[in-house]
Amino acid sequence: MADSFYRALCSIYPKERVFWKAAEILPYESDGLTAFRAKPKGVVLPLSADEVVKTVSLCSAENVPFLARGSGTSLSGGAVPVEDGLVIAMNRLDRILDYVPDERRMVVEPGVINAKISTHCESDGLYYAPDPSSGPVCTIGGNVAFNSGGAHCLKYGMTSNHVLGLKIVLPTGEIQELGGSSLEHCGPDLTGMFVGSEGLFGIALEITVRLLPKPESFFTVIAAYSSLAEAGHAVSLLVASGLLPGALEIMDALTMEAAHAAVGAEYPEGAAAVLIVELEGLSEEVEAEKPLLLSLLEQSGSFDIRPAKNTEERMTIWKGRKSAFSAAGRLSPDFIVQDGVVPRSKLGEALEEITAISERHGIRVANVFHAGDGNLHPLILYDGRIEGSYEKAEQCAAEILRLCIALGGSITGEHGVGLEKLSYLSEMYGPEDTQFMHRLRDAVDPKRLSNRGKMLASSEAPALMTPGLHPLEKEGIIFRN
Amino acid sequence: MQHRIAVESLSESERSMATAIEACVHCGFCLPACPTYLELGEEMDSPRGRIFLIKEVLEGELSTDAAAAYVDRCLGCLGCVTACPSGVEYDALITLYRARAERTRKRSIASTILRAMLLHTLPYPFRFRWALRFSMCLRPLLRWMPGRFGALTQLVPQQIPSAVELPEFMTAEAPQRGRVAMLSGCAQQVLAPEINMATMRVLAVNGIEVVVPPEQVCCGALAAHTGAMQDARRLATKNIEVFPRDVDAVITNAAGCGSGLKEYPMWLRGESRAASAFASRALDVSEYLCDIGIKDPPDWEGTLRVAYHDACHLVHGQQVRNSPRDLLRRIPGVQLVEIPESDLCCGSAGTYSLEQPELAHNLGERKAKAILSTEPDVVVMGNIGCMTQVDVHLRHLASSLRVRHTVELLDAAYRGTLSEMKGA
Amino acid sequence: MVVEVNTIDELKKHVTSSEVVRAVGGGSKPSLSCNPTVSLRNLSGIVEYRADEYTVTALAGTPIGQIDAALAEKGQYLPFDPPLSKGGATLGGTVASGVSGPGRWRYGGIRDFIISLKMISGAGEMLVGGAKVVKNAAGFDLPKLMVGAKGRFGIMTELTFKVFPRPKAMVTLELRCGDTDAAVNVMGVIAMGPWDLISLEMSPPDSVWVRLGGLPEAIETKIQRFTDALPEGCDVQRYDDDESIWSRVKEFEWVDDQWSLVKLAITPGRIQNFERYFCSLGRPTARRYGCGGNVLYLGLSEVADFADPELASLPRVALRGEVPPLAPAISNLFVNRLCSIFDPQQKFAEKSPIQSS
Repeated sequence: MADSFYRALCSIYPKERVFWKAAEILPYESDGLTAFRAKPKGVVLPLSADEVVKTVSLCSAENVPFLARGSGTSLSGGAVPVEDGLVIAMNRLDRILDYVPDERRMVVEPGVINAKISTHCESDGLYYAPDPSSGPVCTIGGNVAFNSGGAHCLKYGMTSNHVLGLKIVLPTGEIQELGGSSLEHCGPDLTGMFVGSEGLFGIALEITVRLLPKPESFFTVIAAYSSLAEAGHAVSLLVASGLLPGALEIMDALTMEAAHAAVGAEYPEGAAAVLIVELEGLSEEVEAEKPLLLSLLEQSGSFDIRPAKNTEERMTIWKGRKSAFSAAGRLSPDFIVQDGVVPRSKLGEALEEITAISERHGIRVANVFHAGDGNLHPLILYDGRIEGSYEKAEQCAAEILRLCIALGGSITGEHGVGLEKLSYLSEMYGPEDTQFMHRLRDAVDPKRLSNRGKMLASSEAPALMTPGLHPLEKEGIIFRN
Repeated sequence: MQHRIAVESLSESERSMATAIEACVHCGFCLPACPTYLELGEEMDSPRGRIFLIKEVLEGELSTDAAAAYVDRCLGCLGCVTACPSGVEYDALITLYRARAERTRKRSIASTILRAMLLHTLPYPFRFRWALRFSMCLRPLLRWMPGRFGALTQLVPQQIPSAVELPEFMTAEAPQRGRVAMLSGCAQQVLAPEINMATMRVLAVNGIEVVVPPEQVCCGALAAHTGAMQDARRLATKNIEVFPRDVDAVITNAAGCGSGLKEYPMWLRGESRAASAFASRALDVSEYLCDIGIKDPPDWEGTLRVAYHDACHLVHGQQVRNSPRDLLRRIPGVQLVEIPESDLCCGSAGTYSLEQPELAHNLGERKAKAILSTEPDVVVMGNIGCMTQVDVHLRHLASSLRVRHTVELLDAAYRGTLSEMKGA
Repeated sequence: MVVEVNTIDELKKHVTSSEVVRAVGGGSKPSLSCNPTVSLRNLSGIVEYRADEYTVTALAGTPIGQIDAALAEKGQYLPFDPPLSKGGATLGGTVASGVSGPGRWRYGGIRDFIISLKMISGAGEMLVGGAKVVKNAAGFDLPKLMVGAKGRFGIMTELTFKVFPRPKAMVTLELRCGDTDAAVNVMGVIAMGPWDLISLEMSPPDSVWVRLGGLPEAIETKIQRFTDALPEGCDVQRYDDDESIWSRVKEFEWVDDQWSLVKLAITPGRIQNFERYFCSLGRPTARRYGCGGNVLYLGLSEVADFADPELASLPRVALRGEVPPLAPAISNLFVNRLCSIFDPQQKFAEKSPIQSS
């Protein structure tokens, strides 16, 4: 069986783009979250959408589960292979197919790197707004699958707010066009439904993104606080004032330490937390907002307010912020990044509770987050070499997620459910809604081949309660006793 | 990243491999910085992929030979080290791993012969000169040789400059401000002896006395980076012994060699205390000149559009990024331009262009095109390997653009011969 | 007969007990609520408004006007400017029709602001989608799927939106450009600029309308610089008290109320062709290009097939009266598969197949 499948793949691809040997497959076993590993059957490296479609059709015919993988930077285990499935490495499908600057639109292949879109249209004064920290590395295909966010979501939204149209291949091999070239659409927003579906609805082959004119001017400030709660309070104050900053970020002392070590970013001495605020827009508007912002920061009790004096200083602030996750490698050999969301007004409460959880488990937690969105990123630090420490970290993570749910938030703001938060989706939505999502997936992918095991836990797959034969029964995969 | 390497089975110096693996969080920030990943798009040809493979080999899950192809394809350009937010010491990892793997791996006969040839000629100027002469005669024949041997012809220059006897000593122009020893390099002294002369003159003009210890040997970088660690250690020990200690600095003008000297403590870990002291004195000529502050070169009427190419072993290996640029900006009439993808390796990487000719060719061509896109009058860099590679690929693209060393431009500025620096 | 439901339970009973279910809210978009079986007018009211969270939750039958008023008290607004509030439009109907107003240009349309909902599927299941926080990536994005779906997947009962602070000062400029080509060109140039305009629209033959907003202390210099940067030949008319201008636009008062009204999703590059076609028609039409030329609202005095093939193939939705059918009708496999779960018994099905896009 495996051999005939391999031979079939070799009729689609030249042999050098079908990886079957141990050394070729091993490096694909993990993504940006090394706590999970799975061994795929093999890896293929398509160079055209046609090859992808043929591969999906073959997998569908042969009942082989598959995963489309970009740069493998997922922080939720979303790009971990399906055990004994096929990895379709999309990173070489990296062409820019169409660029219409006059209409601020670009059509790209899924393997195009996020940051490359902005680089490509830079000279026309345009950019692509969603800016996940992994922007220089991650692919737009992965962004679409996981509805990636970034530091500028409050004002500009996430990936789904910037994707206009898609050409996809369904898990059963059919090509579909969703959305289009216009900012507006008529009929159900299928593009919006596909974005963030974590690969369960198939693979994007072409992605139409909208571009925005680059803000004319920026004003970026670092404000230091002697406690996390104070910084959290400052956020509420800013938001209540009616200002709409492009970004509102908080880093705690531990994260600052890591970012300083990684990229040499400098932070005010003795700060328990810093707030990064960025105003952006037309220079007149930014100039008018500046004094308002500065006086609010002063009111909020910041003991050191440092505006970036030039572009270079602004870039250093962002470089420090964006390196935070990876730089945590300097604090600890292993860590779990959480991605829960709480209502912004409950930030202070959430932070206090996280500190308590961390102390209770005797595990260090570094906090860095998109405060404007209430999107927390606690980095739970542990040392995998110590027996039981991963379990402890996981316990800690679980309590933080449940806290987010209890406060009326979400288990994930931008990393997606993936493998890591599988068991929490039903806690957030309840069993009925989760079951409904299972059924939607089964309707689109009756054999559950596309990125099987992510977002929806197979252990809670629908009990056989749908009228008539379950799609899997029809396929002869499962039977009722 | 977690691992199950039996750390106690590693020698003391080899343990930093485990440290490097632990520091890697698999975030992927190294991917866009890696030339082989950019060219091939395969995870196993990326830094984190290689770290994964090395980990598996050290854990005993994968054979050395199974991983060899991918580890071999690493240029050792260290672009990933600059890009890494977690501070993974990939440089130590790859060097130590290659040394370890060399002991057990199987090589093909062709690969063994080529490797031996290189290791026994390149580090020895006398042998290298004769090897080049020999190759020049064989050029028509070599062209028909398969793969890597064929690639040799590409790098054999059209002509070899006549041998230059390097003075052992050059006095400083008054007032004297310092005294340094210079590493003369091996291949460089054969291929472009004028670089060493220019270095000595520029130092002297700036009040620095230069000594060139006659007993010095190859820095050992070539050996170390191809896994011949015993040779590397021998060469390092010899240099530490013969270089004077009463100098302000040991000056290098080839990025690869400078990087090599700074790695001595890693090569000799646990064996030589003098290595650290020696490494701390090693400085690239541009670093040193910037530190002491140079004299203003005389005024010049003309203008020169200069593209500066970052040699990997300067920018990534030694974090020398601004010094050469600052020096070049001091030259009247120079307009400095940045080359796109300046962090990307040109594909020379020591003997890489001989061992992985196809990849090296693609990278070389990519670099040459990037340089030409800036429409410079001259392209300047600080490493003989890059100079050869870039020159070859510029010629392939039918360009007459001249490749110069940073100190050559400075030397010309002091001597009033800048107009000769433009294209031939 | 239209059933008036007063509770969600009653609505659920209606759905489970009926073979055909068609909901109506305020009836402001008659083409989308023809032959209704159930009215949601009594399922009305704001459930929760958290100004500090930038979120508002209301029942589906809540009139837009009521939401607008509540938000205005706290200096906030729905930035996509939901249209037809005077016409009685409700929140649910606005989502189902997928129609946004002129403010859509600045921060996005209704799809960009809906964050959570409760709904009833064809099988009578109560479903929840999204979360009441401004950022969420968990689970399938049911709220977005409902936008423009014309109730095909179920009946929404409760909706949560992200809201924003309303710009403190706003000024509108009308730019008379001389002719259509010049107007299209001017709109294109403005769209590429860093102006952060709230609205950017074009009304044929030659007017470009822009709305600027922000802090009062910055607005004069902004207007000055904006006008200075305009291409030559623009005649600028300024309106300081501009609420009525945009209200007229949002309420479609510029279209004869006996005419059909249709929304078409377009791209700006096509406007000139369309204009040539409409001018050659020989029967009256009313047109306005919204969202920087990405949407065309078209009033038709009589319904006839579009002879222009480009126009004939465009995704569209009728708000009032009839519109020429879309040729060719696209049946979408993805939609059909989703429908088989949302609405296995085809209770919400339209007579004609659903239009994809």
